[in-house]
Amino acid sequence: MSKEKTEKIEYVSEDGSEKVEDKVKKIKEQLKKTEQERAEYLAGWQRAKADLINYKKEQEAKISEIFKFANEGLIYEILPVLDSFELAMKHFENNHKDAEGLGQEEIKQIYNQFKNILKSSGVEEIDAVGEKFDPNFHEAVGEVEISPELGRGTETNIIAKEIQKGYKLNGKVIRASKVKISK
Amino acid sequence: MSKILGIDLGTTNSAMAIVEAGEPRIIENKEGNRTTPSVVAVSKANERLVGLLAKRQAVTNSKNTIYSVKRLIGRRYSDAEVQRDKKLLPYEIRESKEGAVEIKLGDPSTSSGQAKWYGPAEISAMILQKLKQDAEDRLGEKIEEAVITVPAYFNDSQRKATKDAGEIAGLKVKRIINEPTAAALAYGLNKKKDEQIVVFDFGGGTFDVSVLEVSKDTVEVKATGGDTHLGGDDFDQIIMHWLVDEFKKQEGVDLSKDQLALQRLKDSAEKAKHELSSAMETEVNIPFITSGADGPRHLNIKFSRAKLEDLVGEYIDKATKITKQVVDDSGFKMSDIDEVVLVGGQTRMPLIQQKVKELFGKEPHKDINPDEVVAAGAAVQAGIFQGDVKDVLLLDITPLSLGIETLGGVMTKLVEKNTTIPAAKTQVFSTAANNQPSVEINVLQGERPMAADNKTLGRFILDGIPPAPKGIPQIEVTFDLDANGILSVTAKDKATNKIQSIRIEASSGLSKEDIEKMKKDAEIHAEEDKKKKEIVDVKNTADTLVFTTERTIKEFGAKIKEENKKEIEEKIEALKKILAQGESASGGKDSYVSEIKKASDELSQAIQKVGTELYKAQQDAQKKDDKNPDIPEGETEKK
Repeated sequence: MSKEKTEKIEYVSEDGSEKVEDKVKKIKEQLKKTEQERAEYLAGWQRAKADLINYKKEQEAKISEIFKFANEGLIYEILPVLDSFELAMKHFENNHKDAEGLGQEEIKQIYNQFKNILKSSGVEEIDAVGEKFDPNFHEAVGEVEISPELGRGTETNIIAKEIQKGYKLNGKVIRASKVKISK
Repeated sequence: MSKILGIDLGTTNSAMAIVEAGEPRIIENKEGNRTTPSVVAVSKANERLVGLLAKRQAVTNSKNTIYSVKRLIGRRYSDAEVQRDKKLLPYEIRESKEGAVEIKLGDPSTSSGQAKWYGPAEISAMILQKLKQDAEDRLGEKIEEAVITVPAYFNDSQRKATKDAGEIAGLKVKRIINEPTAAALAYGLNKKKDEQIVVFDFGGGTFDVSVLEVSKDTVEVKATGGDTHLGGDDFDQIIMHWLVDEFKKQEGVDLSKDQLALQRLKDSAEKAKHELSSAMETEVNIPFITSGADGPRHLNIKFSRAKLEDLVGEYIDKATKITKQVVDDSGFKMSDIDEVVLVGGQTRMPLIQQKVKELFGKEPHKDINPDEVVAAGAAVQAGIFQGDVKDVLLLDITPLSLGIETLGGVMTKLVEKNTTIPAAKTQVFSTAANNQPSVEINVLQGERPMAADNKTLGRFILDGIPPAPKGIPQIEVTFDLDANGILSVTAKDKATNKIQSIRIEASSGLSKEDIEKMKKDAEIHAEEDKKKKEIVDVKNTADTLVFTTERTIKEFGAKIKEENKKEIEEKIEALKKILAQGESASGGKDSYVSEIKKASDELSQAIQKVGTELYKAQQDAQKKDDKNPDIPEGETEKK
């Protein structure tokens, strides 16, 4: 354990062996040094106290952040299930549009049930096709000719196709949309 | 005094940390992530992007997205390494006037994003600038100085260029330290004297192994080696190829041409790799991976840890071989190595940890997040510069709990073990017997619930307590530990203000071995100690119940019905009898405890019956006094 070195304070000797002026000088120096040390320690103490108070504040803010995004990990893991549902529905749309009894309606209902739960937990879809590419929300995985239906003409850097949907949780991007942008 | 930032400037990813309350803490960037991709770009919208945002548009803007610039910093254009990387990098590089490297990147300050040629240090400076800004935003204070890490094999020119990058970013670089040294610092291994340490760094893109020697004042790199193009990314690639092959076998479809399928496959491959670090088997399940001529295809392949280890075995063998070579180069034998440190995300793989353990015959240090350990070490170095570790402020902890002996021979803890000192704790106690004139304070140290099993550090007596029923006097006991571990125990009688105290020196405590033994003993005896304490607690509660019940009878005897009084007195006698007879007569600890509990419950119920009636009688008496005709008269008991 470390010990603080404390300077012994000398008092004026009584046998007159040392000159009083020298003694006074020594004591004055000692006093100055001690005062400096005292100021240093007080400042250190105040800083330590302030650090603790600030740490408490930071912790409180952090805890409310944690609560807000406590579900982030789980929701992120679940998003591929949402993707699979949408692919299944797209498959039915493309290949079995007029057929019945294949379970399309049921799958759609389960999908909506799922989506509503996520929505009430703060999950939002990120807009993609037709929007200007923004790396804050989108990840570009390729380029493609823009579809004339979008009516964006020769504008570049517009999102032409969405490859994978992106989502926000309480405003924070948890998965960027994977998109193809206009050439 | 502003904080110094510790920065791990990596090839693929960077991280930063500061020392807070004596420990390194990783600082999250603006996006909320603990690591930042080492990527810089000028987007098609003519905006400069750094980090994750730059990575997100790398595919469609490859000419203007600069990554892995660490492979070029401080090198000459003619270096073999540069020429080799030039073939792999999608952005343009050329030789500068001085023979160094220059990189082409659009300049956002010009309206058309006219391209400009930058030195690698300038590009790295852009990454450092983002880290600096994000750290300042998080901490709410200016950062002006930093400690930056570099690979052990970096030469003077590469180190200087890294330092220049810092200066360009507005950071005074206090020191450039080696990555393996930083890792050792993070684990506090710099405090070990005359030891040999191996740092095994298996990251995403590179593999590095170094042998360090710790001496009195320095940590020296004795040898270093590795493979600059071997990492976890190679593992992901091999897994992907295997999945494509398996799918071809199962479904007859070749996914390697399907860009979207490959993307989903890559994500799944990495995820599966992570899962197999804790599970023995996982399933790669991707519905609707592609559409064949006859409908959609689904990928569902079982992937075992054994298969993974088989697939990457060749890479791990390579790493093992390199490790042996490097230790050989250092002049040491494998058995000379005292400590091994793991760095880099891929070291989370059980097979790699096992191989390292086999190589060196000891358990490697892996508790600190392997992706963050280098940044943490840089922060430790920064902390040392900051003087955060001023000797007088190196605070200790009490290794064992401290307390006093209380009724029944129990130890009541006042200061829990591992409390940082200086600290003070106070608690109020009382007397155990009527008219008790003094209390003896038996100061104890240890973890066991019974006083006799712990060490007595000292005893003293506080007397002159005025006569009072037991439980009434208030004796305030304070334990005060100063920074040097000197304990002062004070007992104060709040009625008389009389004080008595004792001072115990730290040295009268126990040695390190004794401390460990005491902790172990507490664990071993935990069950039986718990039972012992339970008996004491139950007995104490029963004693108090007897005492308060007798007092109640005495005070309110006249108001209690004769038959109730008799019942209560019988129950009191029964309980007293059981308390007196002891464990053995009851047939063991467990039956003793249950007998006491039973008798206590019966007495409680008996006295509660009387209690309710007493209160009711009191209320009725009050109502009669009030004589208010509006209040309906309650029932009165006919005595």
